[in-house]
Amino acid sequence: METCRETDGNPPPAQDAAIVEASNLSFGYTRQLVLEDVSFSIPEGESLCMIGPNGGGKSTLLKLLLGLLEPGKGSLSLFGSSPENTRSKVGYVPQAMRFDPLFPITALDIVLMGRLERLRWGRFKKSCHEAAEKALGQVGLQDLAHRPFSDLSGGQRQRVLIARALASEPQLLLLDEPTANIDLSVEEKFIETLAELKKSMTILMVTHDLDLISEIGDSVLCVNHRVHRHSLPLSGETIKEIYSGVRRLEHDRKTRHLQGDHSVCQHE
Amino acid sequence: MSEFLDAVQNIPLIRYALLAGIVSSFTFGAVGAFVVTRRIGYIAAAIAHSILGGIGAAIYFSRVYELPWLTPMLGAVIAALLSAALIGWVTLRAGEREDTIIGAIWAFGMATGLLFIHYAPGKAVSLESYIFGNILLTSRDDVVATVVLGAFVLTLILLFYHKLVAVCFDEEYARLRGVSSKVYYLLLLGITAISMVLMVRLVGIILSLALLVLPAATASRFSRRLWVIILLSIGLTLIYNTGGLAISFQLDTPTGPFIVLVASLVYALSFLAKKVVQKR
Repeated sequence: METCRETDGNPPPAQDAAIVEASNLSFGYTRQLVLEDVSFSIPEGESLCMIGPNGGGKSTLLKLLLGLLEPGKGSLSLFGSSPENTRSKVGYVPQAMRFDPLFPITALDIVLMGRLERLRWGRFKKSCHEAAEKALGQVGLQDLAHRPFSDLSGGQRQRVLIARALASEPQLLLLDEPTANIDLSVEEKFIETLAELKKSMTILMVTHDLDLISEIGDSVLCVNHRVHRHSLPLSGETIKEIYSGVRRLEHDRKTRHLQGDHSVCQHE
Repeated sequence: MSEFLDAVQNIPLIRYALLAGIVSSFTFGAVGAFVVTRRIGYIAAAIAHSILGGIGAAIYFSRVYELPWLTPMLGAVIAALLSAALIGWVTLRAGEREDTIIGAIWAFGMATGLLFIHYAPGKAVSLESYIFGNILLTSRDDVVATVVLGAFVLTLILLFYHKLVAVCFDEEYARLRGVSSKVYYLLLLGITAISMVLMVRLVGIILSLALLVLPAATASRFSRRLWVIILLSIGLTLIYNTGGLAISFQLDTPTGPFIVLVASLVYALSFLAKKVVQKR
């Protein structure tokens, strides 16, 4: 590290300058806080999975990271700046379920939206089309570029949305339950795609999918009003506890975790 | 048919009506496709009804204060844009339910229009031509206004097509990619408002929504690409407007209702046609 600093002359890409840095962050839509005193950081290249019960603040945290909401208290920075200023470095993948199934649009048209920042008016440039087609290739959908979105399966739609995020050439990828609407039969392939992406960018995703967490995740952030971080891989015993905790999240969210019971998380 | 062609050559009124019908088809087809895709038909209808308020106010104030420049067309454009802005503002702020404000503007526009027209001095105003439209009342100025407004709307759509589509499809993501979603949503409502003004001139307030929505709805049964739907619905509107004018002239029936009747029948038939295509 020292030698780098001397030879480069440039300020080093300080490895402790995390890509995401939240400190004492609080937020509430009303007076009641959804997130309270949240501090965590994500170093470059890490894959972090957010788990937690419904209403625990995962979506709110995602929106804060996207700069769609302003933190009430504390600070949140991405790439050393405010989320709103760094949107161009962030790729966002919402859930595919959200969209109007009758909307007349093709896969390629959607992926091109990832290049909107480079478009003032008129048509997309050739370079944008190339980037979009490359992104579709990255998720294995190059052959379906001209298919209507409504013709695609749930898994393919989710891939299209990932390709759209990739088309903007992000350094940080945010995904909201990417496997929520995917059949088990294609999930393995889907995880492979994400594992490939993990090599070249930092990933933060909301997920309840245990396979996804164990294949992709470097660590887990348990979000329920406050946050608790766990590193992966963990000891067999702890994994069991966390995973049983996650299962409980899925089956028993509203009762146990909504009451702020973090017993399954507090074992570090 | 030859009777109609003779009329087009010899009677300026028929010529103007035909010209207005042809020119506005392009605007209606394109805007209609967006309205159907984004599911804002009822907003368009509310704007159409609010136009009567603008027309009434323009007639009243121009007569009372002798303002010859304050034409019903100008009043209509102002009222339509104001309604679009108000609906857009309420929707974006989400302070009130969207359907409530749509209903309120709808009725308020009609009520103020009727009152202004009632109290306007001078000769009685024919409400019927505004409510049911009368394409044969098209003047040379109307044709010019149709061309100018139509060209303006189409230019905006051509320039900002991808951004409009992105905002319609996924408003949140568009915002993350630096597109001001609010501005483009308001732009969409604005061009819808201008289309409704042209539409009311042609087929009247009551029938306007049908002519905006039906061609696009028919077209969207046969394609799942927006630009194809736009082209198809422009084509259909062209056929309805010109064919409707010619045939209704020949049969001596009111033009607006005839156009809408044909558009509705074709829409209904498109269900059957689709069924047949799918069975093959």
